[in-house]
Amino acid sequence: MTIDSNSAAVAVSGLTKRFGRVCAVDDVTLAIPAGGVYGLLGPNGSGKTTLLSMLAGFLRPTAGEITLLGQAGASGQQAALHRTGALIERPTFWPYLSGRDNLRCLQGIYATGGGSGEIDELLDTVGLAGDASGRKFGACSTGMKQRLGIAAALLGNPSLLILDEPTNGLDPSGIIEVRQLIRSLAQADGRTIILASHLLNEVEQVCDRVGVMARGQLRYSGPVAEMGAPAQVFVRTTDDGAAATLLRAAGWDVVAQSNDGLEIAAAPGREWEISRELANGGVYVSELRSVGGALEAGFLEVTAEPEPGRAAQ
Amino acid sequence: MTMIAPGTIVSGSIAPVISALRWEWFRLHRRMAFRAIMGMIALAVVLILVGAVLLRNEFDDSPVAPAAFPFLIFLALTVVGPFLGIFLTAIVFSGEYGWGTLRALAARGNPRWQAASAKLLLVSIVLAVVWIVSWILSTATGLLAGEYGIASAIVPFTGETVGWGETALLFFGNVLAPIAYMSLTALLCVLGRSTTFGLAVSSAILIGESTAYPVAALIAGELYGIDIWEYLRWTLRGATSGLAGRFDETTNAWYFVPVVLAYTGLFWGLTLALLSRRDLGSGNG
Repeated sequence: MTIDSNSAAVAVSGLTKRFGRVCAVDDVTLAIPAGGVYGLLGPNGSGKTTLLSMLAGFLRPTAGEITLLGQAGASGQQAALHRTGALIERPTFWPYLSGRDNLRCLQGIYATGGGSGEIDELLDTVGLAGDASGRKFGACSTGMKQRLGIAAALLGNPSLLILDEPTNGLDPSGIIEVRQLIRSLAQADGRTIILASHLLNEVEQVCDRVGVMARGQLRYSGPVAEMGAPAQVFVRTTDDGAAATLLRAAGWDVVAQSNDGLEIAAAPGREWEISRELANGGVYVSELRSVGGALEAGFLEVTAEPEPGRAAQ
Repeated sequence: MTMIAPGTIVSGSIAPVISALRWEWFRLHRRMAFRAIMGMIALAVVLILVGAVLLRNEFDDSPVAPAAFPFLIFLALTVVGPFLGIFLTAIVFSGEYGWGTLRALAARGNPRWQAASAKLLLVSIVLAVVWIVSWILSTATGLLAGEYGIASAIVPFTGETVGWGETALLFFGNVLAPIAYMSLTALLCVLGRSTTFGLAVSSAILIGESTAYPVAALIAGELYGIDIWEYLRWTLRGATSGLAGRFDETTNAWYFVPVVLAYTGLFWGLTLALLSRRDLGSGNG
């Protein structure tokens, strides 16, 4: 599906960033539709953070154009950034101020309005209400700093949110909370969120569309569901032959059948439907697990580098 | 036709700087280093004033001494002023590179020149306030000293009352000279992307100028018979010294005003240009 750059929340064309002889972002052309969560995947050093830093106005592109929220050019980007919250690389705050004072300070500098009510609400949203908000930033744990960084990015209820690995340093429950928050933020106000992550399952769970970068180049951009081979579920039952018949009859695609069990094409989260289908047919499941999700397969495919011998041919 | 409302330029460019200034102060007055410097200045001023009051009857034979005590405040500030400008600038810039908080200041499309201008403006205001308070205290103590007039409390070298114009210039010079060094420090902080670099190099320049010029002048005069002060007076240290009325008695201090302003403008302009064009890193954590 081609996205009209005029209606896109973010559109970049020929975007390039060089640091001396190193080309961190190489001629990237991309359009991210307004609304929803766009995931940005890529191995370390693939150029994700550099790309996001250019969008947020921290790095100057060597070449190329950026259109943010429909506004093009340097002045347009600057105007659009008033409606853009960003957490890139790591949260940056003044360590001698408390979390609350840091937010007050940024709220004043950004002139987003909102007052102390907004700060209370944001601290509550990111789970930092109470004493934690009064602790000096320098004395906060990594997880608390990360949560405060998300709160700062949300100041002024921005239309575009750029989050670079926002779950870094969070405990498992914190990771789940933040993922739910990201989904709810995208759904509630129709805002656009760009989420860079190393975690394939995070992108799979949270994002509608995904871009994959490798060696500074954008190798794929499109819906998560269309990337790579379909996800598969491995199932072992009391009677695999009967299970295969039952599932085919119910419309499932049984990709492979062996002595070990069955492999069924199924999107993540649909495992329980397979289990129910089999139980209703009198076949009981002894093992059920996802086998290398769609994104994992697709990611490996698009980020694969040609072998030196083949590249030379 | 689109009408531009009066004051649009003010609200469009100056108001954000004023707002940024407010939040710079919000942070600066919480810094321990700032509180320590201000505390030391206040303590020194109080000690001098208390000394002046306690010893006011000890110098009946001298026409100068009572007024000279409060003058010490001014003299001390003249000498330490450039260092004060350097240290205060280092404090307002400190950590912004290391913590990566310049990114926070420049996020949401905030022009970087606004953040830098707010910092330099705040240091200028703090310096001006320090000088205004010391001037008021000096003058008040000068009045207590009696017969030699208010201005003699500030310039009591001769024991003669000097005019208000010279008094005003001395005051202005004492504020402007540190602002020139403040701009130099800001430039070096941005150039080296490090407050430590800015603090160290600007202090070295100030100390180097102060110690090397007299030696160079002496050598040039003794060996070659050349008065190189004619040239040195147009250097940063030469001009700021001249502005503070400490160059020589024959040169009108007003001549140094445009020179110091030119240095200040040059350093400030380069600082803003560098800051606006460079990439902003996320610091070291």
